[in-house]
Amino acid sequence: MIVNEKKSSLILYPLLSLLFLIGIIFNDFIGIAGIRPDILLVFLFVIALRESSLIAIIAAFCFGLLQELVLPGALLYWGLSPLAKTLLVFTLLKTLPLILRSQKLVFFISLFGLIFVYYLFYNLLYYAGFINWLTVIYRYTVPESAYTFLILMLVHMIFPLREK
Amino acid sequence: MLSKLYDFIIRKHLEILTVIFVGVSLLLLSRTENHVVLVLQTRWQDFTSVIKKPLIEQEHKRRVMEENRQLRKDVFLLKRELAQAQSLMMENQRLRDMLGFRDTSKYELLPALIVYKGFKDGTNIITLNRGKRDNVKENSVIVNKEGLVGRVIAVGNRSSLAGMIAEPEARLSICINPVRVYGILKWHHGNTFVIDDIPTSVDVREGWTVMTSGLSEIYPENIPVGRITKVTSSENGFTYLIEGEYFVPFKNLREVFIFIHDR
Repeated sequence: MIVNEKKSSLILYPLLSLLFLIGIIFNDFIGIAGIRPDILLVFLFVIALRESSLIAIIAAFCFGLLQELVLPGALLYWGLSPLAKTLLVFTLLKTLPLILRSQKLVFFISLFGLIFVYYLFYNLLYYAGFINWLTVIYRYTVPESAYTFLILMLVHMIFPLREK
Repeated sequence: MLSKLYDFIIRKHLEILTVIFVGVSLLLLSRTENHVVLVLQTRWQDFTSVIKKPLIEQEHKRRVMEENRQLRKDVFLLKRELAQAQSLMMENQRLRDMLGFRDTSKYELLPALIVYKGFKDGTNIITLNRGKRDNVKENSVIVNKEGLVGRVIAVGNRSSLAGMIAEPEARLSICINPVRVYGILKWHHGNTFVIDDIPTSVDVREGWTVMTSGLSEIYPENIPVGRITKVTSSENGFTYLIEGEYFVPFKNLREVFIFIHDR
């Protein structure tokens, strides 16, 4: 069992790293109508569900910093990604026992809910003052959450997220 | 005592780390411009621009072919206009000579491709495929065929980061044509701007154009910026509240020109 898990990790992490590199280097090309998935977020979910809480929270902060370093956006919001990702992983880790005990459907709805809340928090701050909050929700938050969740589901189909 | 503290740290490590990370993030958020970050971002863009080059060039090729078809149609019309323009230019030159003026266009235009438009839709930082190797310098002005786009804020060897004028923090010294009245332009929302410091004693009308004033240390004069769409009186009655639209469609930008150096 342990050997199997190790084998699975040996494939999963290089695969996620590759996905992550594609995500950050070709970020412009994987966008659909300006909507881009957050591959780092997918990576974070996998880490949070499979590794210890210490690794997960450090990864969240570091990934947030990395995202802002390699994907320049608005200088005004430098620090927003590590903040949002740290808070997301903290919430995920705190609610994890409850989420893992729940039914499969509830488990996935919870994951989608967390992704949605992350994007809502991020986008409302990011577009604050110059895009109406309702537009932020339907134009950015919902499609971005769905796109990222879809990639998370693809990863789940190959490497089930509930196995910890 | 120490063992209790150790136990507490072990037991609450998640909360402690979260508080530290949130604190650091908030500290970063409080600093609006960080030059170390800009240097790191430029280095990364330098590296990735090599990898992304084939894809970008393919995309560019497709667009160029589309544009080429359209341009062929325009060539005929432009040729006719060119003949008229040449005659006007000669007349202008003659008049300038009479007035003792010299040619004021002293910049070379370097074409550049936008290789990255930011992680989020609507960001104001773009990455260009030109850098120090092409003589690009910090604060080099960026334009496209419609007008002013922004300025270079950080330069790498092969790429550079540029800030567009359509962003909340940007202020631009402008001049309204044809009355030649000066003011400060601020981004409003989307592709629109506002100017709110023009006295009502001056006649300003919708449809008039806004150009750079030349009073700024960065932007030379007479670069088209936008067109006035609405003129209203402000609450105090002494100044206008002028709204307008940028000439440059910032959302659909793909190619730009960089002002390189004095001729």
